[in-house]
Amino acid sequence: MAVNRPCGTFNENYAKDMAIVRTKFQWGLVIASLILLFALPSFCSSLVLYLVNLIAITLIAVLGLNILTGYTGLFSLGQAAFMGVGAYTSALLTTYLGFSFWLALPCAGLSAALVGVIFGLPSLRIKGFYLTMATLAAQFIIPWLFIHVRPDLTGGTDSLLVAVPTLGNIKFNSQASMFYIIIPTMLVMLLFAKNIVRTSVGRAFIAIRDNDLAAEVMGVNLFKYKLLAFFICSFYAGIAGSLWAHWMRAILYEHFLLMQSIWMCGMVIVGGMGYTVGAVFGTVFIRLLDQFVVYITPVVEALFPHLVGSATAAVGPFAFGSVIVVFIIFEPRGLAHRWEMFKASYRLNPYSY
Amino acid sequence: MTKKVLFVILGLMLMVPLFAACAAEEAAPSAPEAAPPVVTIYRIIDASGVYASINSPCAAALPHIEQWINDTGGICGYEVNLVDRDTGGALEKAIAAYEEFRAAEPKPAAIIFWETTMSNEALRERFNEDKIVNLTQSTAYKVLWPTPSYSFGNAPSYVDVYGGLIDWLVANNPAPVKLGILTWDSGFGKGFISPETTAYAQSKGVEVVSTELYSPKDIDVSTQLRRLDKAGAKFVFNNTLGAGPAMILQSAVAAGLKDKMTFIGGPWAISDDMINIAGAEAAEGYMAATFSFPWDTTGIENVDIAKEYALKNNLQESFRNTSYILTWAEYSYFRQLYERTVDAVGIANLCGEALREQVIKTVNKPIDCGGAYIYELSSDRPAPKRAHLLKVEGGKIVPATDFFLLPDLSPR
Repeated sequence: MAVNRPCGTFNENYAKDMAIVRTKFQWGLVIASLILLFALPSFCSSLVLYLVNLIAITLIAVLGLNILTGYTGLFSLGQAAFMGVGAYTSALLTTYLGFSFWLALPCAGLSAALVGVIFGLPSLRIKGFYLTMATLAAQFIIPWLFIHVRPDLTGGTDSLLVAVPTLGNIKFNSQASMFYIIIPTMLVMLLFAKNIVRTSVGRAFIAIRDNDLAAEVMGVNLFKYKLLAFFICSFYAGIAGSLWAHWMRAILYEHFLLMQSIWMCGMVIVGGMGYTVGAVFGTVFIRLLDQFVVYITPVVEALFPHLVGSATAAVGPFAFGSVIVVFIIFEPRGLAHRWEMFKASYRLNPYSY
Repeated sequence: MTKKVLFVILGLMLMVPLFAACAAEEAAPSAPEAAPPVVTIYRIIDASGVYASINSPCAAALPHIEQWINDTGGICGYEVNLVDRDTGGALEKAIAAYEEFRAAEPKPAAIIFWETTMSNEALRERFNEDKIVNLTQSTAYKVLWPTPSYSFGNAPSYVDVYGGLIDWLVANNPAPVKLGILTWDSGFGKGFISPETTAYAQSKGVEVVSTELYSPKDIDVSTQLRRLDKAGAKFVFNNTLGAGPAMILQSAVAAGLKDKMTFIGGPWAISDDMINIAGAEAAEGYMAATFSFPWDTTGIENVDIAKEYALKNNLQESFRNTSYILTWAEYSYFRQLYERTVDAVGIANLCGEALREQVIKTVNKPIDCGGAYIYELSSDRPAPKRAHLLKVEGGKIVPATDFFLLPDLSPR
């Protein structure tokens, strides 16, 4: 799709050409949105803040997956497991080695990234369905390790309680206080994700996605960039995992199973693969859908009393599955594509300005 | 569109939530005058996840119980609203529901939390920080202890029930009693294992020959049963529910061990649903120490009322079971707990601290749930202390013993 700049906006220098925020209006919007975002805890209920926090943590993991799948074309079903690596790393470091959360957070990202690289090694030899199966192995092996290797430390099949982050005398033990850790982290990760695809690294990723043979012929080192994509993807997952652990205050291997990875893949598909904003749309859409299901289930139960229990448990997966199918059939490029079309039509409309 | 207009819109965007927040603050004081007080009792329940088999009837019971409470004078004359939130057993949904209820106006004094052990462990500190009483079904020792806390069991604790079963085994069987443990590999399944229970079994001369674990997803445990048999186990204890005991019983039949061993379970390990899954033949003779009554029970006031309301509301056949009856007993307890609190501090001061005080006061002032159960804590035991044995006979659950006092195996 052609890029339509806002009317009267010209790139007079390289800085302007590279800018993400281009006009005063856009700057205004960004500043207003940030003010609004950071003011949320002052007027939103803890349920809303909980949802925002949940969306933000999920978004970090999905942004990573979008870099791997959307930009590099390498499909992974192991994102939840990598998130688990981050969560357990952070929990173990803070619980047993006395690390502060602020130090454990990057360590969690790095440890997940290293594990991701190990499982990404086959990506040089295999791709498509076979690579998916290789990452699926991660999804089975890693939770098994959480349970069986040093269960005295990880809790095994029991939960592992995690301390809340502290800063001096401040304890981050509420949704509002955790909001001020989670949201800035998410924004930094979002900015990084947006920027990385505009660099030579990002262009190499896209070249690999479009045609890895052609990319190699052009001089793109496939081994290096594929592993780098796995590294970044898993780093994101590790950061998300660390935040998850300290936000939930307890972790269990069950939080990082295959179904969670599938949910994240669904978010990338619904949002639109290969669009940073798509990850945002997809995550928000699916998470809100999930919450909507919580409220719709009692209505379903009231309408069909004989379905109470196991049958109503199907409402969530049914809604999720339907959404994925609908998007794959009618809008395979996701919500982000719709957003691009809306922007283009708005800018081409003679009465927009 | 001019820049000026855009900035006006931006300004409005910022102002709208500000006005909304201010409006909400201003509106708040006038609300109590307008509406008569309603006592809202919140429950978070896994009615469609792992525990669906036993919790679905509990969910179906709620509107009937609400009807009964309001038909019979509410709580100290105040109308009662029972609110339920099904989480499907997902921790993140349990936290969402908790945040939603926690922020309600007025702040809830208690939340009835019929969730997984995992969710209970994760939320335990939050209940303490928010001073909201957690009336929980999960009575694993990691949930209830250390005390003091805001978490109290609605059921006897797993450690005490295990101790009670040891007493019963010793009293009714020739020594030495060789016990094998076959339970879920989860916080719930292992919730009765503690240094105190291990020491108690030893002190009573019960030899725990082996501990075997299995996953709730396993469909066969005959290997574990054979290992227990080889170790000499004559009794096999599990702390599972629904398909958990059913899987053990079916595997025992398949492995030809059903007649060699006696199978016993913890407080949630016996239910009509379990008999349906295992089959009446496999379930025959199975026993569990619990505190509920079977559907067929008569002559107990609370059970009779439950059945009356079930029939009045055409409760579906599959929900007419122990879980439904149990929900009534527990809500009878909650109702009396709220009544005592309102009597003590008044409706305006109904809060977590006041309600917690009344829970603790059951040490000296037990709560009788219309004959269905007696809630009575001990000084260091944040869960009730009575159980009886239920047994499967002819495909039906029947009481095997009267209620007896459980030993206190609280962590020291």
